Amino acid sequence: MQKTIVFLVLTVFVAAFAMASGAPEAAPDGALGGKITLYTSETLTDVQLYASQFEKLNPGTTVEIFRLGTTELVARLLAEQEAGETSADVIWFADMALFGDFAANGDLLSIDPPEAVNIPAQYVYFGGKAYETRLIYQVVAYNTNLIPGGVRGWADLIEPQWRGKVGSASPFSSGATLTQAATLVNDDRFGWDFYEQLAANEAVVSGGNGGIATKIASGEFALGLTIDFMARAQMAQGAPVGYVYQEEGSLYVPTPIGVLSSTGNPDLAEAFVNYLLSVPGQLQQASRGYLPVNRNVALPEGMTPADDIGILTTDWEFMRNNREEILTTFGETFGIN
Amino acid sequence: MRTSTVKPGTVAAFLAAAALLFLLYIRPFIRLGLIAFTRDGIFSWENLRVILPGGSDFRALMNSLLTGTATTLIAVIIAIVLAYLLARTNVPGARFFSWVFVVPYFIPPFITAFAWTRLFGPVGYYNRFLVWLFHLSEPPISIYGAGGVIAVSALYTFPVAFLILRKAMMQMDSGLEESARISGASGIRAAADIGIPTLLPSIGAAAVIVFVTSVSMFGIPAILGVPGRFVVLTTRIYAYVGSFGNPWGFNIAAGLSLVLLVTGALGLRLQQYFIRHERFVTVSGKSSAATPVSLGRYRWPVFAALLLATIAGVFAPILAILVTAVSRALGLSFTWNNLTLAHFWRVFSAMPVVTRALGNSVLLGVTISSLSSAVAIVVVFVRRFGAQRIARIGARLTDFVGSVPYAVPGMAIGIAMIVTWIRPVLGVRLYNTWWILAVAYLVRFMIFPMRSVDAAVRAVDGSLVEAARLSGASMTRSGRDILFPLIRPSVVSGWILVFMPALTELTLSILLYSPGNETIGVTAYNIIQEGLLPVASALAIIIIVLVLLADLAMRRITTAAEGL
Repeated sequence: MQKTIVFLVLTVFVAAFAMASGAPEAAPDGALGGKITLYTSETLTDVQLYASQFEKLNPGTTVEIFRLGTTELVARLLAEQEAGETSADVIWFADMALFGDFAANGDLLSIDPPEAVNIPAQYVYFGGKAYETRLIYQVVAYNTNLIPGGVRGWADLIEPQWRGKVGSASPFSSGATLTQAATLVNDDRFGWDFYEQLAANEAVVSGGNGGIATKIASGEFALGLTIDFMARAQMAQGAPVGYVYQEEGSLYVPTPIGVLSSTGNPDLAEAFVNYLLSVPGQLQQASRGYLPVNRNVALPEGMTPADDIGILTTDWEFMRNNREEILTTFGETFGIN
Repeated sequence: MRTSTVKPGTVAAFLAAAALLFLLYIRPFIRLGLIAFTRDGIFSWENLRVILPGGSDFRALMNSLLTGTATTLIAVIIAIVLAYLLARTNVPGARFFSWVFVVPYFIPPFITAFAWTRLFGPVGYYNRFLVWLFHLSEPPISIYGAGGVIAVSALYTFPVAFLILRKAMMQMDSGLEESARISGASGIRAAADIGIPTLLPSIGAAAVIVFVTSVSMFGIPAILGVPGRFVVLTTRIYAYVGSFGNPWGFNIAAGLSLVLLVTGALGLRLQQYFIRHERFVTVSGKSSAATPVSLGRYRWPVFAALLLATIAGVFAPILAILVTAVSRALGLSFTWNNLTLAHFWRVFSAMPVVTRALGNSVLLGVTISSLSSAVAIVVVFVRRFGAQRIARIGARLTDFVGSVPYAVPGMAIGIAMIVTWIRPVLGVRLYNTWWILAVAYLVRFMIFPMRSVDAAVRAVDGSLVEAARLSGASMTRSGRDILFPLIRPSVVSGWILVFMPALTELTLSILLYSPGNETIGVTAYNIIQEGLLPVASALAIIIIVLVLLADLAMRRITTAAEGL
């Protein structure tokens, strides 16, 4: 009996280990091969889908994913660069200002993915050093059971009626929320005043946008700030969620993808970016609720065309110069850091 | 003890051990102290200023102390009550309860924290039940904040206190209490006047362990504290290292780690004090079979209360994440249509990071368990059989290694490892590799086999080995043929005692992991924090099953050991 149990337990662990250590097959001559590591803040389950599909289309390649919230990811990336060595080949996260720095410093490779011709020019950044593969906006989402009448925009978040039932991601994790703060504090209609009112309304600020969407679905929050595709993903699963592009203007969250100059496998890296821009890659992203950018991909039903979404203006220069100060003030305002 | 001339081999072994001790234990903490007290290489108090009154992290320090104190109080009271009921009374099912109340300790704390959010979060099952029961308009209890952190920390730590107190109560001479009863004292009076004072040293030792554990924990305050704006030292250390913004982040993190370290060291002193005093009380050897106290007509009500506590406190959290794991989406009603196994399937088949992390953690667990067990056997054998001078050093070594890392909070080890290895040392690069995790785990977990092997070797009657030696067996031979078979069960259980926490370690790993070198604890934690709740729940269930399997194996082995 004892031996049987010990044996069973060992078998389980050995199986788990064996499962974990399957090596990729070697690449055929001339084709793409090898491995790249992608540092990203994309939703893990979504980005894994694209990577797996890409690997399937290109046998012998591996796209290893390292996923963290933008802010934590950037901290790690900068620390690794300072130590003179990073595992990242491709980076993809929501910090346009940092991409600007990287492009200016020569940290990003100029690439020329063939599919780029099908992308509107405004989504090709820094002369081809970074690309937008899909569009996302930070919106106000709500639980349709708790707020059957729906909401209109930013102002709903500071309604005393929803005190303690408002959720937002933390800028210490989310690049979108950091971008949001950099945008709102520069806007006369909002400023730090808006955040003080949000804090007074006992808004819960923590984690990433995905968690906010889930908690709106579960009813933990009546409403909150999250990303439009996350709200759509909840709705697709049948969760009681609705969202609006704010009447005051939504937050457009650029999430560039680029290849680091230090990569050892630029061909594979560029091929992966190209896949994301191509029709199959775009369809895959659209299926997860993202707004596609490729002209040859029709807008899925239920999505608003980008031209119809009013957006706030973000001053990237301001964000670049004040990132630390914004984080500190935000942390103090909400008692988090 | 024999005396013999010191051989060159033993000198070499001694030097190797000293070098290892220096590299693993001493140098990292010297580095930690240096970084904590400097800025730009110049001596500075600034890094510690943040925790002084008025400083930005004074609140975190106070919260840590509050968490430690309140958790200790609650956990120890629960443990005393349970230990008394299960060790000294005739409550039915004592064996079952003694097993089941230890289970919470084997489940990684961040998973327990996550599980309780499914019960006492704003839309948690318990909260919804209370809202329905009392027709409330708002969920009555919030898991996020000080209350949640303390309650869940207490639920996680009480089993340790329970195990210590249960053992003490089983060994306590029941004659004392019986005399009191015979002299006319009531049962409660006898327990309060005789039982509790006699057990004070054990209670003190248990309290210290709970305090140090709860102050050092990262997972619970990170998941339950931060959303409720309740920050503690460990979550602040992580924020300083994991987020950019403060150019002195590392120095301040080192300073805060030093504070944790001092707390741990003070705890260690206190624990040693209690253990010393344990010797002078009547908890000694095996008393004549203790007569259980009869609960009389309360026997079955007490049983019912324990059963309820088991269901509500141990099974309900697991059930809550199981329900989340099989739900298609959150916010849906719990019907057949909304049930799915897709999340489990996804975890296993479509998330390479999970399988990769599982592989890393199993490899770390096996390597560190085996390595630390081997080192423990060597050191303990040297202590037992080595030439006198070497044996004395062996004894020092076991005592030192056996006690120090226990008092050193994981976060402090993590920061010490980073500041030691961020640049290659003598051409060896550990930072951002699997190896830095391995080294840190070794420092953290060395204590377990050291203790269990040491205790087992001491328990073996010296005459057995002497007999073998007199019959002409060499020292190695008598060790291998006589001693080793006798202590084997302890070696195996020491191995599993390392394997289990190493498998799901979070506090160290969150600071030291790197792309490709994720551990399962970090991966699960990141997925929880990302808010992928159904996937996180499925992964949590898988981890719980793995851990319980390992626990089951250990129980089998230790039961076999008791049978010897």
